[in-house]
Amino acid sequence: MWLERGGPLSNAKMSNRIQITKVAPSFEELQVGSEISPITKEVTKVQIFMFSAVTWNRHRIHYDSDFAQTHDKLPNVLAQRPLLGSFLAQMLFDWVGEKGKIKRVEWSNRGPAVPDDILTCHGKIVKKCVIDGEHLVELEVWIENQRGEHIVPGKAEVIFSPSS
Amino acid sequence: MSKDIAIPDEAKKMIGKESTPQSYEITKKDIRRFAQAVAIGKDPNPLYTDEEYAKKSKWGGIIAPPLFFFSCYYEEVPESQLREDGLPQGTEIDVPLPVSQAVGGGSAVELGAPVRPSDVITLKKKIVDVYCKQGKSGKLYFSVIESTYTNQRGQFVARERWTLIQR
Repeated sequence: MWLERGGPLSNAKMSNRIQITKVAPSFEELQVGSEISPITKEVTKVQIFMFSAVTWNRHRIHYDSDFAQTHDKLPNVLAQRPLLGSFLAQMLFDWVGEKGKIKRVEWSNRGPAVPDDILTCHGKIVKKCVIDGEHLVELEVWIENQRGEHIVPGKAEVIFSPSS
Repeated sequence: MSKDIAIPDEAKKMIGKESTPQSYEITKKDIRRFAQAVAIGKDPNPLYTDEEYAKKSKWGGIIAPPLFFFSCYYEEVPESQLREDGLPQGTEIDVPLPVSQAVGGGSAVELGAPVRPSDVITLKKKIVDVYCKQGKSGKLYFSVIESTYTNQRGQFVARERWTLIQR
């Protein structure tokens, strides 16, 4: 899949396809109450498997649909907690880019995320302040599925570099 | 849910238990694969995969995605030491509970230095709390596990506190 889409050999074209949307404005321009650029993820069974592989996660509910359904009464194999967190972190990282860094991110799993779900990560600025010289932005973050259910609520703190 | 149902003594004894630190050397391939697994059908940010691109960034070279440290979090146990659902048992920080199902609850992550290729990441886990609540369909057991990650320069990389919910 990666090679078909260009892969490492076509770096020149890569910048047109990366999922980097609008980046954050400067700290001064950030508006409390505004939303950052959302990102969307279409969950696949293969991707859940790939994430289990890279984290050496052998928990059956992430790769064995029959087991997930019969033993754990789940609708299908589940997207992993660190994968859902990684989606939120990607949104934050795409947004802040080189202007700062993610300091904290928290999330909890309130509902299952399964293959064929279309998940959208959202973030909203709830506070900005300067504490001990740190330009801190607090965000409410969440993942919503295609039925509008907020399956992963959370929050995050991003630090902006003073020069940005 | 009511709180404070007693937990077995063997489980209570595990509160405060720390694991022996584990260290892993990180390769470009580890970072690339993790980035691909998170990116789904799209290309990952070239900062994670393309040295030339990453050199021009403020990081001056390839870094790993923010939550890459999760790829170091696993138990070094053989397949014979996995329970029916695939979770490891009998590890240093295994909390003995009368359970057969597990699901990840919440996570809180604090981030420090980014991970780079050739870094040696050392991870230490600790059982912070174990408690039990009465759920609709029976007792639910909660284990709060903290893991701390540092690099070979002694820099703080990440700390995660998560709740494993079992029944």
